[in-house]
Amino acid sequence: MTNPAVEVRGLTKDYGPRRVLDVDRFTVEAGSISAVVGPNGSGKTTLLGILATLEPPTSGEVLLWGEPVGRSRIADRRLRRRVLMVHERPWMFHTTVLENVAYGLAARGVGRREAQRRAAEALERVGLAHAAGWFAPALSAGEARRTALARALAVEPDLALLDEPLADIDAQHRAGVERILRELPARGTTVLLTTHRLETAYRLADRCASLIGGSLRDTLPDNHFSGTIAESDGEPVMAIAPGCRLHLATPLRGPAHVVIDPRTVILSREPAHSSARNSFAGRIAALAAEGDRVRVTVDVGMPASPRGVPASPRGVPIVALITDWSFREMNLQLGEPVSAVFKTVALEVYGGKPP
Amino acid sequence: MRWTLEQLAEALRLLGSLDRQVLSALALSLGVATLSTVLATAAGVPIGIAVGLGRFRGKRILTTVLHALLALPTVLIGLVLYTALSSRGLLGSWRLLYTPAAIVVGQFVLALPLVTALALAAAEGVDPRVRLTALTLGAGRWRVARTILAEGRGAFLAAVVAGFGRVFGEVGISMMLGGNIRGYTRTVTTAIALETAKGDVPLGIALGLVLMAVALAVNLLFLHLRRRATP
Repeated sequence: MTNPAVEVRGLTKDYGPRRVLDVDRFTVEAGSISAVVGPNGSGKTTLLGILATLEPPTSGEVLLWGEPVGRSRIADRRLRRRVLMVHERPWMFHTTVLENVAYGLAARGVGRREAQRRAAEALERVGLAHAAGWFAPALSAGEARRTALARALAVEPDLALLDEPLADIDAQHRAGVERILRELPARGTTVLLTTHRLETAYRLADRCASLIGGSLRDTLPDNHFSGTIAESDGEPVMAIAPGCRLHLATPLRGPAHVVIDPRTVILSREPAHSSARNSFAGRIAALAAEGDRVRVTVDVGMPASPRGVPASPRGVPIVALITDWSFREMNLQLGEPVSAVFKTVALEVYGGKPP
Repeated sequence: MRWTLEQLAEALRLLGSLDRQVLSALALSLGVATLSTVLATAAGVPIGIAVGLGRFRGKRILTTVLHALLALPTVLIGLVLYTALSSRGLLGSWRLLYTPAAIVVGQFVLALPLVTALALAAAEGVDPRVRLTALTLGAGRWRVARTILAEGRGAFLAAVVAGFGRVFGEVGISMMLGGNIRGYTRTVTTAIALETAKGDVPLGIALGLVLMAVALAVNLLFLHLRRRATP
């Protein structure tokens, strides 16, 4: 953490009485690819808009390369020239695809001929060289997005803020776009992208943060485990704590991430004798009401060691989201022993490689 | 009935013979209306864009005042400018009264609120992503405004045409500030009023037909441009 391209402190954004963003601290290292993962409407676009200096925050501070945003119009304009945001549904100017891609260059005073040459080059990279003369607003959603990416590539910004860069991109071009994004840091562009798909974040980003309900966490969502998928008795497993192994159903092996949707985790007083392959005994470490749901955190994987001392002060938390109704019926208490049970097919596996 | 038909026939004959009076009135009408519309566009469109995109205190009041000005009667504009331009008035030394220039000034005042209000609506109607995209691509204020103008060209064109339509058909300002001087400040509309009052109905009808034809032509041209602007 020595050279942040983006630094955010105490950032909030209100739309009327509604607080849509509340980010205490957030940094993006220069030369990295970072991802913000969150569901639609979690404030991802607003965050990027503020970082792109297109929208002022309600309070808090944004620093780009150590320089505070919003100090003066001239300084902001200079910063804006180094930052480029690509919107989720990018606007295509009512002219040709080539003119669209050349726009940023023209705005930077690049001569017409040179701008068109570099625009054509950028179009080539995204596989749209053949569309240079097309009327841009008539492009399909995926083509428009690739054109918008080319529009960003053409000006070689120091920081690219990409809102859902892979949505709408058809399978045929996905790998190409991902390769372009991966190459950006080597070309001097720091990348911050948003996605609602964990998979995208894991595949592309050096660092992931999650944005839920406007608040950013430097950690990933609940029940996210990193480890190595190994084979045990011919079955794929991942150790997440001493004596705690997740049973998986995947052909992949090696370093990977596993995510369990808290809604699929069942709590049981007795160790389960069911078809579910994953059952972990633990203790209830936290309870929190969330509307008509209750978030129950169960610490698993802290069996008494042979000498009677817990292996670690805290185990590995597994979060279950259960209804208020079943919470009351089970009469769960803090510290009480329960088992967290879930089916193997409920596990999402990211990363890993075919053996 | 027979009288009406006779008048119409005479009017058509006058048109066919390209009566000099008709042509001179038409030339003046087109001239002053075009000039005042150009001036109102040059002032109104930038103001409309600036107000439409700006976020400042008093924006709503400004918009309300603008809309109130749309209802300004031409006779009132004529009266106010007459007092200003008459030889003892505030701007009397300019010696503009009863010249085509006076009509241009009056028509400019008439068209400005309309062009501005419609340009404001046009600017607000442009997708907000246009501005954001232009900004993030590094455009300065002028380029952003130019881009908004280009992306909303159909609506901005409508503002200009509406301004032209308003001034081309007005009588009050031309009459009061121009004075309806034959061959000098007589426009199509003032000529219609005069000739009809004098009893030269055929000339009045001929001029009325010209007025209608030009208004129609302008609207057709506008439709054509608009179709080309928004494919």
